[in-house]
Amino acid sequence: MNKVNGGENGLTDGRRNGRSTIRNKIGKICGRTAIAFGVFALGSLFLLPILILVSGSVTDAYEWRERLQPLLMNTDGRIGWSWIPDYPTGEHFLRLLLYSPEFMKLFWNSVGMVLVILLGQLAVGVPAAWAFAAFDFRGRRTLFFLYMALLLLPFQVTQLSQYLILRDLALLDTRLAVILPAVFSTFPVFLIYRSFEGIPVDILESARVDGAGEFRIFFQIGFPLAKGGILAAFVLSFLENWNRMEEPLAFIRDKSLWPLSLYLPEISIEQAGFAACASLITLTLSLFVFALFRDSLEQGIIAGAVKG
Amino acid sequence: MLFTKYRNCLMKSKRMLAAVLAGCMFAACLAGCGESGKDAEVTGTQSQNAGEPSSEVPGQASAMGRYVETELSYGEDCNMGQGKQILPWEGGLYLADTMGAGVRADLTAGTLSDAGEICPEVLRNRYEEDDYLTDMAVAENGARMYVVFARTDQEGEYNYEKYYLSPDGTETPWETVSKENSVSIFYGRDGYFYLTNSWESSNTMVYRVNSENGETEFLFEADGKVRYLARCGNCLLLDMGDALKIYSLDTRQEMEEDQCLSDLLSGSLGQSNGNISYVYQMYPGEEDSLYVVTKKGLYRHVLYGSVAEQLIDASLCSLSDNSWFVDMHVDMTAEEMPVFYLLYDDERLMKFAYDASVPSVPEDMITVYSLYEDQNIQMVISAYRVQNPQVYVRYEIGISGDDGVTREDALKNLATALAAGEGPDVLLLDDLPYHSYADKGVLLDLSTMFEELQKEYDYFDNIINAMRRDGALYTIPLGFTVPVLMGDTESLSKIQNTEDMVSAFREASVPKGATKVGLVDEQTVLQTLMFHYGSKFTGENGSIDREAVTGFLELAKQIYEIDRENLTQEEIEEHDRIWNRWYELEMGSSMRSNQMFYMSKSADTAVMAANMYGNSFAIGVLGGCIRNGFNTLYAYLDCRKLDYMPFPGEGKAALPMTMFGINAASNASEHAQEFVRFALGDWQGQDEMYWTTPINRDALIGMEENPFKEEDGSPSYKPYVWMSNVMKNEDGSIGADSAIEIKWCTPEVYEAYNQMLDSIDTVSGCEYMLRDTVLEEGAKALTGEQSIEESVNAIERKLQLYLAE
Amino acid sequence: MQSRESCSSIWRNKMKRRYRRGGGAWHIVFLLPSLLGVSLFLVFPFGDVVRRSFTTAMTGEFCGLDNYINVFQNQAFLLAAQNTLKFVGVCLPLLLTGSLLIALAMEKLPFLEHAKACYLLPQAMPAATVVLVWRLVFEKQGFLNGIMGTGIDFMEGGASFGVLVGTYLWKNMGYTVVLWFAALKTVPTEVLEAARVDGAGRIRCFVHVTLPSLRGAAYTITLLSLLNTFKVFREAYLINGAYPPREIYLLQHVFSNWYTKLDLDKMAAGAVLTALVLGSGAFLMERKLGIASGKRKERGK
Repeated sequence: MNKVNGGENGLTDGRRNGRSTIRNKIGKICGRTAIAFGVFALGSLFLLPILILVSGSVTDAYEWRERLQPLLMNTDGRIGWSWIPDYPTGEHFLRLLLYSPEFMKLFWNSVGMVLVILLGQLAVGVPAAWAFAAFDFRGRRTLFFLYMALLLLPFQVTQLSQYLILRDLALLDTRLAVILPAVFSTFPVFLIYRSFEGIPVDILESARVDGAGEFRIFFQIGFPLAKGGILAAFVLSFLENWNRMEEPLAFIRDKSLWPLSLYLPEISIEQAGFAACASLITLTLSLFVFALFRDSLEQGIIAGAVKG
Repeated sequence: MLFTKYRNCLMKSKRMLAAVLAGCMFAACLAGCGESGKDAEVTGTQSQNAGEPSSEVPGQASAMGRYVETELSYGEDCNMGQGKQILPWEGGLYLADTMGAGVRADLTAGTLSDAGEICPEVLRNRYEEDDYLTDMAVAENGARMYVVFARTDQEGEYNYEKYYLSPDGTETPWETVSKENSVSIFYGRDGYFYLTNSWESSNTMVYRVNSENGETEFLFEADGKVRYLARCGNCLLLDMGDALKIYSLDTRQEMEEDQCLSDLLSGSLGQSNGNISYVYQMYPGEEDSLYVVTKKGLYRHVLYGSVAEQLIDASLCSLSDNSWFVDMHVDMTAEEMPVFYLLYDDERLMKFAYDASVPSVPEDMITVYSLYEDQNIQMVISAYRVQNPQVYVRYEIGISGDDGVTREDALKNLATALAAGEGPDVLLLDDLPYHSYADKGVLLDLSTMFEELQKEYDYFDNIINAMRRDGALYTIPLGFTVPVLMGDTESLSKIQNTEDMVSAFREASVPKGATKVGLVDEQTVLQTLMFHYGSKFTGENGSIDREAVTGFLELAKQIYEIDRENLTQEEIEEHDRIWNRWYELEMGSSMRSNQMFYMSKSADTAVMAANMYGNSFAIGVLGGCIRNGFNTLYAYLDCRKLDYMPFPGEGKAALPMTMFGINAASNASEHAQEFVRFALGDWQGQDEMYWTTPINRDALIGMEENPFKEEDGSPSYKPYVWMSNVMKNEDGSIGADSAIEIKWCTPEVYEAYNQMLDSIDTVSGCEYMLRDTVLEEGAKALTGEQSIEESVNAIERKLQLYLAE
Repeated sequence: MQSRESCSSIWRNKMKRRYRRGGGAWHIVFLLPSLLGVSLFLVFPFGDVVRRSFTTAMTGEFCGLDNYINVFQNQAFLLAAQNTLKFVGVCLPLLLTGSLLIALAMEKLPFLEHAKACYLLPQAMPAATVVLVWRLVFEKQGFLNGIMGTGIDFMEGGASFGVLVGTYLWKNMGYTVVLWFAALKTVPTEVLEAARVDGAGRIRCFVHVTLPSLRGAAYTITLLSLLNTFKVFREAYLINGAYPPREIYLLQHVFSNWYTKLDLDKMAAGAVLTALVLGSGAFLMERKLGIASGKRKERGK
């Protein structure tokens, strides 16, 4: 990968011929170190809460209560903390994995729901994005604009109306009540459109000239070329659907059908250790997905749009 | 070069990472699978009944037959004590009470008549000598086993003397377990008494005594404490608190767990009221079958089988209400389906018989909704169900406390249901924003219904009319409670308004360690005073009435300071420790319903504290039943010659409890109105409500009638129960726990009470947002953290958003 | 001047979008399922909301513009709108510039790429977890106060706005950096070299070559970030409930509370107003950065 480092060679150095190179170098090193430090510091800031969770999840309940004493009793004083607890324990993990059937049930609820949603989006959203990208038709711009505008509506606004529609379709209190609206979300359409858009038109034109049918073009040209972008969009979509909270709360009363995102708020801070543990496990899947698809994620959304 | 190598490494490690994570997930998945299979199958009609009526279930619309409930009433001459056991007896039933005496149930007539002669001589003697029996069991042949709680020669020491009474009346001491330890006695309905000794060690020894001859046999030792024991076939089922253990009577060994049964009882195990009542009961059926009744229903289960068949759905009858089960009897000699008899801890005896002519699920349904669980409405619903088996009454609770549903979430769900036109039919408006609902036209105007009710009964019109809004009546409460000030008669007579009250507090002299009013900490002061002043906080157009709030805080501050003058820091802490903190920690302020809020400051608690500390005055809310409420309060007041009066201030206020509202858009409006009419009319006075005085004046008068009669038929003012009372000693130390007699009050006392209630002209109470904000900021003003003005500003600021919306 | 022009024109030649042509009515086939679903679950509900904005809440009678007038005069709504604008106005620029700077830094110093691994973590954290950790950190008795030695209750007053902005930045910074970074990699290097050769300084190169080529990415990133400003309501709600301190009282709080009180008419009117504002905002953005529709004609050939 060729990278042009602006400061190394080229013009800038030439312009500074008059100054001492050593001072330059020191300046550069200082600058670099400062930047590096800043970036890593930021990174550790992102990492910090995870570390707190990890540490907290192996701290037993008694120690938590002691630490949180000032907070729970609302007195002055500080929450005690130590990165390594006095008596590390796996009790929270045990309790979560073995004695909380609700947790696993909700976990699999979430997994199931998200998988179905993603498949649905694949079947519905990707073709729609293709339609916007590969064809030109009247009202394309307005329709696309409408798609985007709908994204910006907060849930509370359409909550009641969606509820009424779902009720009339007899979908309330079922998983479909959350799945169906999510399948038709315009978020993936928007993201994948950008990937499709980056495909040079010539390829499409020549394929059409060659007599390939539209479906073939879609499956054999469009799809593979935009794969990175599609994957990236799905990772984002996964995240969004994995953490969906308002819809299940509003449309599903039966708690056994709830997704995992609704389990965590039910654990109060009095059970901080347990909450930390549950959070960690919830996170794991997201991180897993991140880890697997990191490359696509980074490049897909933006770079997938433009091929060199 | 290095880079590509590094990248390959990274790729490989990424794959490894992915593999490891996948492995973890798989393992977790297996663990999860194992557990999710734990949801044992409960078949039968449960999944169908537990929800909607017949129209929802295909093919059930025409299904007929279900258990119908009737109450067996006590006859005129029936004088039974606390019920303990039901036994079959000569074609009828025999109800044994805790003293071993009993009444016989005449099943044809459906009433229970006194069969006092069944009480054996020996027990009668004990009864007359006031012996206290801690446990008792009766066998069909008349044999009994019981434990007597007896004093020994040494002061303050007690023994548990256990006896076996043979069928012919001979009493023999049972000494297998030493006198220091008690036992619990269960009757296995197989001719044997089963005794458990959990007192000696952390294990339990289980014995068996033959009811014919009194022979004892040691069975086995169980790990842990046994709460409840039942027999099924050849096995003993023991409730160990957190699990149900099964032991074989043949091998005397523990057997494996019955998954289905454990699931059925999960949540019910370990809960008992002494050894008298439980949240569930088990009865041995034929061979290995078992009848289990819980708050969810009555089931039949074959031991180690995989299913539990639901025979009775609790939500259709009284099984699901507040009362606990004392005993259950199953009459299996009936033709087709067994008949069930259940004895509740409130002395009701219910009979459940199968009626094939009744639709299996009632066709009509009404939903009653309250945000928090309301104890009073449970009683009403239970009674209504018995009287109207053709209507399915579903009680929906917004915040059950089991999960983390917040107030806002529950309100939003309710709003959704109301907006979608499918809201509940009857709403209990106690914690709901009912002014909003009334404005939006959600609530039905109950004026006409009230007029009709007034033709039949006399009501406390003063209170109901105070709840009118622009002339329309959107809500009628089931009852109310009244904030009262208690103190000695002379001081009280001088108090006309709040200034008088404050000066009376100031002038009162109290012994060391006592406070004037017993409020002491800022939260209590604010909460108690808020009962009366709460409704005055908001002004005309819904904004905060600064003057009123300021006045309130100033009054609170005065009282707070006066109360603390006399106390040292330790005494303050002691006071906190005993009276206040436990409640705050238990409940948490945001989870409190209005009912619980009022209950926490009840008048009897206040007076008990006053007696204990020697306080001059006490403030609390007075409401509730007569027998267990008012009479108790009066006794406490009387022992120091104190009196009570409605809280001084502008207008006399009452706090409405369990406020009914009917959804104007409901489909079942007729049934809903019938239900509310029943609750406000026929039902009133039948049961003593929790901390609530009935709104039906006739009912209150009825409850005030003295049920105790002397031999000649005149009313008896002898004490009927004793409560513990602690008074302050002369020297200022807290006295010993002594007993105070509770007796029925004279008619004059009740007359005065009724007149006081009649003089009420306003209704108090305030919305939770306002209440919580005032409490929070007001507390800071009282402790001096900020000035009163600042507090009022803060309150205004915080509530501005709420009021501006 | 000359070099600048040639820079831009070279870039534009590379990035030009041509007018697409499609065949017949094929687009309908691909679009139909999505269109149906979107109409059913998104458009109809919004239409219903628009209808409700002209009627009273529970009884449904037509009342013209009453609700709109009501909403315009409603103090709570105005406050919330103001706060939301302020929030977006503070957060978006901070996020976009901050993350761009960091991405640039990463570009300069390759070894920083490894920090990227942690950068995605905050996105994955569920709201309830964030709240748990935040309570530990930001309460009066929390860690932050412990480190700083103060006793500020960050959950109240002006500090809560800072906490909310911080939450937003914390959650989205990492991912935005990753996106910018990827976008930076697509800046055509030849053009940059050409510019350097022509004598343009670092800053000039940046402004006239890099920035324009990031336009498309900027549009996507801005829209994503705007979307995420709404998502931060979840954390705010979990921490501060339905009535947070005035400073972080956002539009979604108002809507949520109106809904609870059954003020559906006001909520609908407010929603329509919000949608109009957002819609025009998106429209303007599209105009300015205008890549999305792809209909931009070639210029300066």
